[in-house]
Amino acid sequence: MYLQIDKFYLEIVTLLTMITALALSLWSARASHVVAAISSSLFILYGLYSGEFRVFYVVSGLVWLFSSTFSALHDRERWYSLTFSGTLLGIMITLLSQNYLEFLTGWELMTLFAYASIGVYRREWRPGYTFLAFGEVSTVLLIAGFILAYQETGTFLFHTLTDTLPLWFTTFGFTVKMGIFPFLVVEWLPIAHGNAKPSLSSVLSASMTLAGVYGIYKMMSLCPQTQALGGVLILIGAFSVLFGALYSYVSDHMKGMLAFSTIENNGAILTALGSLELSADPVLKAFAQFSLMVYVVAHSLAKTGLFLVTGYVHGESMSTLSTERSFSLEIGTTLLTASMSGLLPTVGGVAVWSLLETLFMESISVRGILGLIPLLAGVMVGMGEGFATGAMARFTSFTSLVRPRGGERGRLVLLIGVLMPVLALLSYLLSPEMAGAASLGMFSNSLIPSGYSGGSFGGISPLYVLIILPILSLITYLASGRRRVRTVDPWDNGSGRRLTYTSFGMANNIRLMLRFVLRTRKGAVETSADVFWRAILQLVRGYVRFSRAFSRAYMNSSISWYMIYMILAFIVVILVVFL
Amino acid sequence: MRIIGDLGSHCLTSEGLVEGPCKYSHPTIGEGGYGSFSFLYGPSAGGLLESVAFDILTYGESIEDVRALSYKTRHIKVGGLPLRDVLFKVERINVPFAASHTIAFLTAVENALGVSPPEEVVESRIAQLELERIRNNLLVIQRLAEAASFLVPTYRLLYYVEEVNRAISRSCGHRYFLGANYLGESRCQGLHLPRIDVEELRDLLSNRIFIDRLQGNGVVKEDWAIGPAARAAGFSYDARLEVPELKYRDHGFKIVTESKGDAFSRMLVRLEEIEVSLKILEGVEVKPRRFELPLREGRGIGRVESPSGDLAYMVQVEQGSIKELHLLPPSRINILLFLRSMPENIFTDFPFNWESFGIWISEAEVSIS
Amino acid sequence: MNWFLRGIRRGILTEKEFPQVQWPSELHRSKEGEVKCPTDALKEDRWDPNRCIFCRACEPILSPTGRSVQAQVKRSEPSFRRSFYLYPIDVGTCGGCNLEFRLIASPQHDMTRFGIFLTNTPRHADALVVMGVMTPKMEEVLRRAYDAMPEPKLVILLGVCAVSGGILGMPPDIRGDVVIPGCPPTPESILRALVEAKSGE
Ligand code: SF4
Ligand code: SF4
Repeated sequence: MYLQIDKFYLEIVTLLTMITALALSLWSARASHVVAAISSSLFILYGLYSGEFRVFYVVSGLVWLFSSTFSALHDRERWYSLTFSGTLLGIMITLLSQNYLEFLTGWELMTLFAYASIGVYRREWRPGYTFLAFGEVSTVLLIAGFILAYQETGTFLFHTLTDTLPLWFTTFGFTVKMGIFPFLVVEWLPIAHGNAKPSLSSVLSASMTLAGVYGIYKMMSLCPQTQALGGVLILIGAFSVLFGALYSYVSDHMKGMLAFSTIENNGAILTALGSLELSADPVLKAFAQFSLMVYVVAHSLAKTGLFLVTGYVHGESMSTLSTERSFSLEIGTTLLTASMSGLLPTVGGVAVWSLLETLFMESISVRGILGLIPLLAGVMVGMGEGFATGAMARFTSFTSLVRPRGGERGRLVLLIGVLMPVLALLSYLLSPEMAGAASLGMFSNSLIPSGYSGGSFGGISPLYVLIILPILSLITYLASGRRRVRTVDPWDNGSGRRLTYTSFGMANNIRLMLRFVLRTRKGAVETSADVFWRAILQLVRGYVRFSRAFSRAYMNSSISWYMIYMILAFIVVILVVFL
Repeated sequence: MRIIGDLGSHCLTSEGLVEGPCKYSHPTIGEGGYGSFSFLYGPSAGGLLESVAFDILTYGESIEDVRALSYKTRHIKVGGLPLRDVLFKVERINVPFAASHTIAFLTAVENALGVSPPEEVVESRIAQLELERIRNNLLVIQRLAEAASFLVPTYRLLYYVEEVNRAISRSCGHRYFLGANYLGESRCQGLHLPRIDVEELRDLLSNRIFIDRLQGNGVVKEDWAIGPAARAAGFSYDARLEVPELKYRDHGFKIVTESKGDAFSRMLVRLEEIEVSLKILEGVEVKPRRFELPLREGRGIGRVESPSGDLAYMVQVEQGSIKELHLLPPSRINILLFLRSMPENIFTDFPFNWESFGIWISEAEVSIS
Repeated sequence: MNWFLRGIRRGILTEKEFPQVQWPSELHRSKEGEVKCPTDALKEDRWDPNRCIFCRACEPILSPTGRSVQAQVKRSEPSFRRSFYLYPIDVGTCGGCNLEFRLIASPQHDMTRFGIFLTNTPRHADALVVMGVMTPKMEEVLRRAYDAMPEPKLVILLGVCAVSGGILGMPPDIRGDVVIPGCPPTPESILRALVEAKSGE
C-alpha cells in the first residue's frame, strides 16, 4: 500500500462518523443508518490494518455494515436508528478501548442503548429489565476483575498480569453477556419474544456476543495460562452447544430457534476459547486459535444473515408464518444454513471441523484426567451439530424453500450467503499451516492440516471441495441432462389433498424420543418445558423481580432517570479518560 | 354373553339376537392443539393391499387420532334375486374369505329352510374353513414380516401361501373355494394338505428387531373384540366353540389365547392356530355330497369363525329368492378395534398394527341392498 | 435356525411349469344343453372369457380344460423389455385379485426373473394394473394415478371385474392395453400376460 493511512486518524474519523449517525437519527432515520453503514465500512478498513485483533474488527464491521444497510432499506423509526447506532457506537468503543475505563464505558453504552431499543420496540419493558439486570451482573463482575487488575499493575491501561483472578472474574462477566448457559435468558428472552427488530437481533446475537469473546480473548492474552479455566470453559461451552442445538431443534418459534442456535454457537466459541487456554503445545495452540477465529467469522456473519431473513417473514411461529420465496432468499438462506450446520464448502464447515479436531487432538495430547474434558466436549459438540443441521434444514425449508414464489427480494441475504463459501477460501489466510496431499487430484498446498506435537491428525481442503462439487454436478448434469425431464404433480396417494407437513411435525420425533428430558406437552408452543428450562424460568422470574425492585430503589421508579444517570456517567467517564 | 356385532338392525350376541344396535363404549377422541395437523395415508399407497385412506391427527410422528375414510365401497344388489345368483355375489364379497362367507350364508339359508346338512358336507366345510384360516394366518404373518422389510421370511411365507392355494385348488377345484359350495351341494373332492414347517415359522419369534415392533403396539382390551384380536387379549371367544352346526368339538379343537392384547399376541395366536388347524385337518375326510333343499320360507342366521373372527349372515328366504340379507363381516369390528388401539403410538407402528388385525376392506365396506 | 441359512438349504423353488388349475381355466363345451349363465358369458354358443366369472353354473355342459386362461395383449412395449415396473390400483375389488397379483412374487412364480417389479408410486410406473369394479370415489384416484405416470405407459385390466364388471358392477372407464380375464386370474395367467406385454419371450 503506497498510501499510508494514519491509523489514529482513521480511528477518530470512524468514531466521529458513528457519533454523527447517532446525531442524525434525531433528524432522519435513513440518513442515520446510511452514515452508520459508512462508519462500519471505515471500521472494516481500520480492522484490516490492525494486527492481532483484526478478525474481531473486520467481522464486527461487516455485521454492522449488513445490519445497518438492512435498516437503511427497511426501518423508518427515528427512535430505532438512535438506539441502534448508539449500540454500535458502544461496541465500537469497547473494541477500540486502550484501557479498562474506556472498555467499561463502551460496554455500558452498548448495554444501555440495546436495553432502550428492546424496551421501546414493543413498549414493553419487562424483557428489557431482564436484559438490563443481567447486564448489570455482567458489569459488576467486569469491574471486580478490572479493579483486581488495577491493584496489581497500578494502571488502567491494558498491561500484562501475573495473577489469573482478573481473568476468572471478567470471563464470567463476559459469558453472562454472551448468554451462555445458565445465563441464556439474556439474549434468548428479548430476541425470542420478538422484542428486537431483525437488524438489532443480528447485532445482539452476532456483534454484542463477539464483544464478549473479544473481552475474554483480550484478558487471556494479558493473564498467565490457567488450564483449569480452560477445562471449565470447554465444558460449559460444549454443554451449551448440545443444549442450544437441541432446543433450537425442537423450538417452533422462528426467532427463538435462531436465539437457541446462537447459544449453541457461542458455546462452540467458548469451547474454542477454552481449548486455547487448555493446551500448552504451541502447534495445538495455533490450531485452536485458528478454529476460534474461523468460528467467530462463521457464526457472526451467518447469524447476521439469518436474522435478516426473518425480516422477510410475517408471523413468528414456524408452522403458521407466511412468506414468499425468491431466488435470492432461497440461495442465500440455503448457504447460510449450510454454514450454520457445519457443511462444506462453507466457512461453517471449516469451523466445526477445526473445533472437533482441536478437541480430539487435545484429548490425546493433554495428560491425565484433564484429557477427558475435551473428549467429552467433542462428543457433545458432535451431537449438537447433528441437531443443528436438523434445525437449520427446517429453518430454510419453512422460511423459503417450501413457500410460494414471490417477487425478487432479499439480495442482501444472497450477498451474505455467497460470502459463506468465499470465507471458506479465506480461511486459508487464518490457517497456521498449509499442506499438499498427493491423492484424489488434490492441488498443492490446498490442505489445511491439523496436527499436534509429533504427529499429524487430519486435514481439510475447502478449495478442493469447492472446485470438485460443481465439476461433479456438471458431469452428472451433462451425462443425464435435461433431456428426459418431465413434470408431474406429486403423488398424494391419489387423494388430491396435497400432502403437507408442518415445521412442528418435522421436529416432533425428537420431542417424542426425549419426552422425559424435554417434558413434552401436547399442543404447547413452548414444548421446551424441560427440567433445565423450568429452572431457568424460575431464575428469570427471580431476576425480573429483583431488577424491578432494583430499578425502583435505584432509579426512583423512573426509567428516564436511569437513562439520564447513565448518560451523565458516560460523559464523566469520557472526560476522565480523555484528560 | 358377549357382543359379536351389529347384524341388520339387531345386535348379534353369543346368545342370539337382541334389539340393536350393539352398545359400544365411546372412544376417546384425540384433540389437536398447536402444531397438530392431519396427515392422510392412502387411498392408493404402496404399503396398502387395498384402497383405503386414514386421516391421522398428528403432531408429527405421533398419532393422536385416526379416522378411516372409505373409498372402494361396492354396492351389491341382492334383494329379490334367486338364491343361486346371490350365492355367486356372496362368494365375491371377500374372495380371501370366500369359504367363510359362503358357508355362513349357506348355513343361514339352511337354517331358514329348516334343513341340516349331512355329515360329509359338515366335514367338508370344516376342512375348507381351516384351510382358509391357515392361508390367511400365513398371509397376515407375511404382511407383518414385509412391513418390517424382513425379506427372507416374507418370501418364505409367500411360498407357503401359494402352497396352501395349490392344496385348496387340488381339493376343491378353485384356489379360493369359488364354486366349491353350492345350494344343497359340497363339491370338494379329497383333502390335500399343504406341507408347512411350523418350526420354521417359529423362527420369526427369535428376531428381536421384528418382535420389538409388535410388542406393546396396538393394545386391545375391549371385551367386544372378536377373533384373534379377542383371543390375543385373553378372551376365549371363538365361534367354533359356540356354533352348533359345525361340530368342531368332535375334532379335537383347542382354543389358543394370549394375554397382552398387542400386535405380537395377535401374531402368536395366529401362529399357534395354524398348528391347531393342521391338527383338525388330519382327522377330516372330504367327499362331494348333494342334499335336498326344500322350497320354503323362513329366516335364519349362519355364523362361522372366519380367520379374523366371527362372520355372520342373516337371511330371509321366500320362494327360492332372497327377501332380505344382512352381513356382519369381522373386518368391520376389527377396524373399530384398530382405530381405537392406534392413538398414543407413532407412525412407524402403523403398518404393524394394521396388518396384525387381518382386515379386508372389501368386506368391511361393502353395502348390500 | 437362521432364516437365511434355512432358505439356502431349501434350494431353488422357482418353477418353469406350474401345476394345472381347473377353475379358472379355458372352458370348452363337452355336452349339449341349455345354460343359464349369470353374466351372459355364453352367447350363440361362443364362450367369452372376458365375461365369465367361472361360477360353475354351466357344469357339466361346459367343462374346464385346465389350460391357463388366455389374456389379450393388444399393445406391448419393447422399451420395458429389461425392466417393467407395475403400480397396482384397486378400484373396488373383493381382495382376491390383489392377493393373486401379490402371489406372482412368490418364490414359485418369482416375477423378478422376468424383470417385473412393483413400485410404490405411479410416477415410477410403466404399467398401471387396474383391479375391481368401478366405485364412485375411486374414479378420481384412478385418473390421478394414470395422469401421474410417465409415457410410455400401459394399462392392464386384471380380473373379470375390471374387464367387464363381472357379476358385481360396472368396469372402470379406462381402455386396457392388456386384458387378463379370470376371477381371480391365476398367478400363472397374470405372469404370462405381463411377460408378453413387455415383449419378452
Ligand atoms: S362358468 Fe359361470 S359365468 Fe362362466 S360361462 Fe359358465 S355359467 Fe357363465
Ligand atoms: S375379478 Fe373376481 S377375484 Fe377379482 S376382484 Fe372381481 S370378484 Fe374379486
